[in-house]
Amino acid sequence: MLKALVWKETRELAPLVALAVIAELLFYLPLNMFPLNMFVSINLNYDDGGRIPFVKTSLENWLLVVGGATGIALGFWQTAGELGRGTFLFLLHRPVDRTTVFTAKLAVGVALTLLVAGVPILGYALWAATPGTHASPFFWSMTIGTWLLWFRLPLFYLGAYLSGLRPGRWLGSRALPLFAAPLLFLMLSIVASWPLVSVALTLLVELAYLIAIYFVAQSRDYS
Amino acid sequence: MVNTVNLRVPAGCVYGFLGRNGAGKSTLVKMLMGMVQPDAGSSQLLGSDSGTLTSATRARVAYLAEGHPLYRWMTVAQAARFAQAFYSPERWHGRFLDEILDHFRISPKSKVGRLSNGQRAQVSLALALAPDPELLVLDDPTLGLDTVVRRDFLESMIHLIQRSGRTIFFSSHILSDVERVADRIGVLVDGVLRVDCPTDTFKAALRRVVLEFSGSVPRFPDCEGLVSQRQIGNRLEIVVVHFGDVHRELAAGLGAIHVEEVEMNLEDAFIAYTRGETRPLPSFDREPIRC
Repeated sequence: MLKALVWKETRELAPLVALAVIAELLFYLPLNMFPLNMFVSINLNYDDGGRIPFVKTSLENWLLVVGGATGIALGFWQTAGELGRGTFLFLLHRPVDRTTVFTAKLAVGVALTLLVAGVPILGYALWAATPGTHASPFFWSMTIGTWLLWFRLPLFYLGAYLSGLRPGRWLGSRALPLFAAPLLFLMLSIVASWPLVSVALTLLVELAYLIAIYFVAQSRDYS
Repeated sequence: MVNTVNLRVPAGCVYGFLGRNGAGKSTLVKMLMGMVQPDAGSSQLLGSDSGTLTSATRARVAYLAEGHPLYRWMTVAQAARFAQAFYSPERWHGRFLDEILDHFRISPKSKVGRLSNGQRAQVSLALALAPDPELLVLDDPTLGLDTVVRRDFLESMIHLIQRSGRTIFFSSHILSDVERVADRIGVLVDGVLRVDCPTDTFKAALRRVVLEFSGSVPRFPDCEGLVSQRQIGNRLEIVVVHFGDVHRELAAGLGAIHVEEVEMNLEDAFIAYTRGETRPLPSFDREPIRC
């Protein structure tokens, strides 16, 4: 049953993930004429002008754009999309408790958001850790800041998920959880110098989002 | 909006739940299925509270939501596999599902998104019946289907779902559908359940009475059983439940020159019950059109 739910969610989100991967590939491939590369300057096969991996790159900006956008798209697709198509009525009548359905949705959504952003970070780190690839020092501890940012990305997903799920008379009030996500993201980046504190606070905020999501999922009308 | 509904559907009954668009039928069905929480009151499905239906109870109930929502990207076979995953192997009748799909000539390889409305309704019905439910709740199952598909769908539905002890509760605004299959009907008017009785009783209890006047047409006084009244030319048409001596005396007191009782079919009865107050109809013979 859980397998079926996970399959359904993964299959449903696959096109959005594919779009995110294409966006990533556009940054990775040596397409220097491509205008987006002027905005984000990571290019593994290109002379990086002496940049130090994970120190002097705009990787974090890039992660914010692609990872954040992916999280928002996935969150809305799983909630507002399902509400709009009326399929919640089919899904929630399956003989399984509502918590399981929403846990499966959230688990897949968070996992895919983290995967979309995590694989490029890992790839970049492995490339940077390979001797002879660049003329600058590399220690794995240099990646901590980026991983902390990666860890905060689900905030966008959860914000979009809650905004898509909660009933609201107009988009402005309904989207409050999404509007709050970048603010919380910035506030949490202040404590990024203390990794454990940052992780703990991020978990706390994400937990608050999850509690709100489960509450809305159980109490809202699916009409 | 649903306001006042007090209703009990006996086991083994085919219950047709009628109402005009916006009367609150779908909302009530969603309340029964635990999809909408009522502000006040409660409902039970197979003895369990609707708001907290357990998985075990849901497994015994089939629900066809309005518009037959299914995942359009799935093939019919994928939709069947997905639905099957939530039931025990003993409960799921895969062969029966295949037979229904075969009867409807729907290929398991077809994409749900490419099916017509009628075919999607048929797939929904097949998926709902595969776990052999004790109770079927169908929310306007023929909505949006053309006449031929609707008739085929209903006939198949009656044939497929008939087995002893199975209860069917379905909402509709199409009278002929209800008349064909329901043992008992409920009529919801503006969120209030106004009728809950066997179909034949409903038809037999209502009478249209036509009162003809020589002069101006008065209003029929409010009295017990009066459902509606409307003026057409020099006639007053009233619809009354259990038309009797009290009503005859009232009609005579109004000075009617002719009184005629007319039997009503279900459609006429339903329209009279749900239409509400109407303004007088204009008449050509009283006000000639001048060009």
